[in-house]
Amino acid sequence: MNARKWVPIAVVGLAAVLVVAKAVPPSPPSAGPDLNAFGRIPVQYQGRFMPLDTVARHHLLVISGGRETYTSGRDTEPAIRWMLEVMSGKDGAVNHKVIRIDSPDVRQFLRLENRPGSWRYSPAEVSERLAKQSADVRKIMQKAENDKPLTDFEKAVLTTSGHVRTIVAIRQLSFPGLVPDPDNPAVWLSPRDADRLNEKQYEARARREAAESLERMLRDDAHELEATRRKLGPEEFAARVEEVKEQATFKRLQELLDEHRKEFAPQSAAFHQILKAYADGRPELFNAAVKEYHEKYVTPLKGTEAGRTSLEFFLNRFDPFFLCQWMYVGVMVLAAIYWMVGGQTLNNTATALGILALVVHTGALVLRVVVSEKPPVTNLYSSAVFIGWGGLILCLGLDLYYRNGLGNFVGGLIGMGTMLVARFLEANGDTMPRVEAVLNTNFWLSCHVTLVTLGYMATFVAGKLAIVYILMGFFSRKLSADRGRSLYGMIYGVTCFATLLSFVGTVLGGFWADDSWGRFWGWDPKENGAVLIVIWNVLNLHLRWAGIVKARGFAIMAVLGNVVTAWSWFGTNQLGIGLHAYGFDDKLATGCMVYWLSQFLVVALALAPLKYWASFGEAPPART
Amino acid sequence: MEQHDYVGASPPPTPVPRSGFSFRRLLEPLASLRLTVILFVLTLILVFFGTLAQKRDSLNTVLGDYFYCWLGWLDLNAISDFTQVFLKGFRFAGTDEDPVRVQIPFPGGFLIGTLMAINLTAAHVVRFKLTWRRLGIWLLHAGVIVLLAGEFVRANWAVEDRMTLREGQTGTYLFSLDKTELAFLKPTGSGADDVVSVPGELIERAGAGGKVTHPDAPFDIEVVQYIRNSKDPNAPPDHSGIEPVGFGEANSATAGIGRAIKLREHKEFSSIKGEGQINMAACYLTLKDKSTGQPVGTYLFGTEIEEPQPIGDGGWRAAFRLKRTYLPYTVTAVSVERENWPGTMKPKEFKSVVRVDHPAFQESREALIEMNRPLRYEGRTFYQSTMNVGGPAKVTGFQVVQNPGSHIPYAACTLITLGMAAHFLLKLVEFLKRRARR
Repeated sequence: MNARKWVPIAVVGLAAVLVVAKAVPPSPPSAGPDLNAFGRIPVQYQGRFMPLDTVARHHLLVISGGRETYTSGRDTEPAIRWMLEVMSGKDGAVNHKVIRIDSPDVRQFLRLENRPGSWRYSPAEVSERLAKQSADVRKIMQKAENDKPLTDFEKAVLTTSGHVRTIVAIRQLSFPGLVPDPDNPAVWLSPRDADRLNEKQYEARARREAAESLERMLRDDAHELEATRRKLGPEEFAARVEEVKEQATFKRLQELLDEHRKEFAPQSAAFHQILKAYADGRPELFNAAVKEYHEKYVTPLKGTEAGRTSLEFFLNRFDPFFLCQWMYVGVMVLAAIYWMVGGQTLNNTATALGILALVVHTGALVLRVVVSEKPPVTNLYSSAVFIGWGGLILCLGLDLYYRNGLGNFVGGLIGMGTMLVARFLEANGDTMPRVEAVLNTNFWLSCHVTLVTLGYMATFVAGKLAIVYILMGFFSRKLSADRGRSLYGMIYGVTCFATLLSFVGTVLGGFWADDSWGRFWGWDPKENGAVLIVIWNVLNLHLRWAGIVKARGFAIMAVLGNVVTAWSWFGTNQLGIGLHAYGFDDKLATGCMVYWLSQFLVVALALAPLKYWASFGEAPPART
Repeated sequence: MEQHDYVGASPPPTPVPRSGFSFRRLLEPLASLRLTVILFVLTLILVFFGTLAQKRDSLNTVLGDYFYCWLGWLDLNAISDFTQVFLKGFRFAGTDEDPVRVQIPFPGGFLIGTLMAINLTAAHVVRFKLTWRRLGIWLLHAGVIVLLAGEFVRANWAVEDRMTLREGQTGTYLFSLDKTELAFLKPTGSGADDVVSVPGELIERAGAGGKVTHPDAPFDIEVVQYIRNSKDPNAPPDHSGIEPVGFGEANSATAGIGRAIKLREHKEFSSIKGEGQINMAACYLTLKDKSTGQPVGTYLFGTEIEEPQPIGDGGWRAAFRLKRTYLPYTVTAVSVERENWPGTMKPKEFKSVVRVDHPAFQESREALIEMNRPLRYEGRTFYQSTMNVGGPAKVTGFQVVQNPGSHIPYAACTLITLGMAAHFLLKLVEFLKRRARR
């Protein structure tokens, strides 16, 4: 066998082994707590069923500004461990440095030391400092409640205090839902709510017993307390006694609930049991409790919607898009080296690796559809993942036809880029959220979002190919007549394809709108954005047909097509919340601007006279 | 060095010079591809600015200024609304409160659409031969013209109304969200009212100092002030724009409720940020006796004031309200239901069960209306649109649409899609053949 064949096979085989290794579920640890079993526990959160692991990942991701793990001492620990530590109230749980504070103003406001690089602080630190500034914080909160406009600083303070509140809520087990509501089993109550439903019957007793024990204390220690009373004055003293009484009542109530939970909410009690075993540092008890919980409460769910969460758990752990991201980098690098040094083996390897990535990517998309029971595109996150997928297919196809490495390179670039965008969007919360009633799945809607997203994708592919054309021509001597012609052909073909997809996708959106509220076209910003892409592509095609542009002009137009697509995909959402605007984020606006400027820069380069282009050298072509 | 800036595969058709006058030659400039390109560029600009404008104005205003008009007015400074979002709050001119408009005349949607249709038609007459190879292009371009026509029909002849019902309530009329009317009412004795309504557009167009006479109206109207929107868009949705008249304050109203309360001009509800809220128009009108020409009084009317006010001594009352259309049948909301995703406040489904009673047909039937599942009845389609189940009574709102051209886009899109598919397939076959030959 020659190197041409075995190198690709070896590289892809190695990558495939890595993928499979990641996919195989790990066996339970011989010592220590079985965190995977704990993370698989199904819960209900934000209107859907998911494994506890997903809740942990989302919250840690949001709180820590983009990490699904945290560092404890020297170890990197998974999100589910953090969740478990917080829920169980284990010693030291509040000292994990997980809250990321990017704003220097907020760090200064809270007098926090600078921790360059991570900028992460523990809940203990942050809440202590927040308490010191509570008057100011309260003022900001009031402002927010009254819908007054907030400065960036105020928003950042609210975000930080929100993180602390979230952690407190996790500690109190106020979410997610774990126990089916006895009155309405479709709704799952959090352990805290399950307690609340039943605490009435113990409240009177707790109050009575607390009062009794307090009276006993007042009586027994009358002598010592007399001194305090004299020091504080009778009114202050009475207030202090009242305060102590409230605390004692609360404590007693918790004790009573812990004692009797088995009777009124056995499932919640079983969960508490798990947490207690963990807090006590008894892994064997923890594992036994988790196992029992699964046998009693999870196994019977098999076949129901809640039972399917194990699939989502697998997706979380497998993290296919992370694997894809690295494979895309590999594809890109291989294709780039191929241009520089040549050798078909390199490009074959790139293609083979791309196909492996495509398989993993496709599998992940299918799993997401199965888990969420929704079409592949429902929000910005899923549109990014889908665009990456479509882009890869298109580019691999182009390269299989042209065999010049360009398709592979652009495919890898788009795959990696969209994976990065998706990772960034992940920090906004659930990636498979329930949608508003108006976006309920409808045949036209499913087709519309899928096709229009593919239209965005194809326009992007054309734009990226055009960037390759311009940069290659300007900076290198690699843009030979042959390569230039085939690149131009690729850009043109993809633009035709993009026109078809974006047009049909946009029109299907009109059908959906007509089906939903009797208006084919509503001139909504997102609709207008989609039509801009259609017109842009059509304009570009007509410019070519009219002979107004040639290869360079067509490439410039295609690069500007990137600008239009980014406007439609992300930009229109920033204008305000419309019906279609499924995401809003300050950072996105800046991201858009940076992206647009980069595209304009490429266009500016392309507009430079051809004699400055490295590929064209001193003798410019006769026709420009 | 090779030549690098490659020309496209299909070179532009070179016009064959012809002599003498012909219809064809007249059409040639109209058929030019350059004109096509210019029209596309104009459309891009129009759509982009028409999107930005929605940050400030109601959709209706934007439609009137940009899309559903022959001559449009394009606000150049809308670009500041763009930079404000994407360049950290930077504006070329104006502030968020006072945006400063720099309006220039610009070809409106109707004009561009019509020119496109002409350009296309001319191109087919002059350039395109009717051959199988061109089948896709013919279909596609025919579809584009039909699509443009469909939107033109909708802009001019489609009617979108609303019907809002409390659970158990029976509705007899629809109301418009963007049109108003001044309705004069007089009891007939049989329990119903005689209604004469003057379209609000006439009052708006007449403007301050203008006069409106309507043959059926019992009074002549002189406009003192017309207010496009009397409700503060920044105030909470249940907040009303009605304010008391201060003691000794100048007041143009001399009769009716306007002596006690007033309404002021506010900014419009933005199409993007208004969250479905609409402009509440109002006006101060002097009503004059038709026979004597003597003023009866100056009244304040407004869509925020629903109650009809008595005018003069003849038993007439008048109300300025969202334009109503009375139906020959009634619609009763039998049940109104909102379902949330479990454990959240996020709506999963809105459902209304209605009973339709048509006395003329002696028909009475129930129908379920939910998201994406409208009721089609007697040329109108009822879509579930709004719902409020939080208040003392559950209220459901339907969007009621009558569009004579509702099927046109479907036909157009079928033509275009078939055309594109045919064209690309033909090209693909050609391409593969060429490759096979090589």
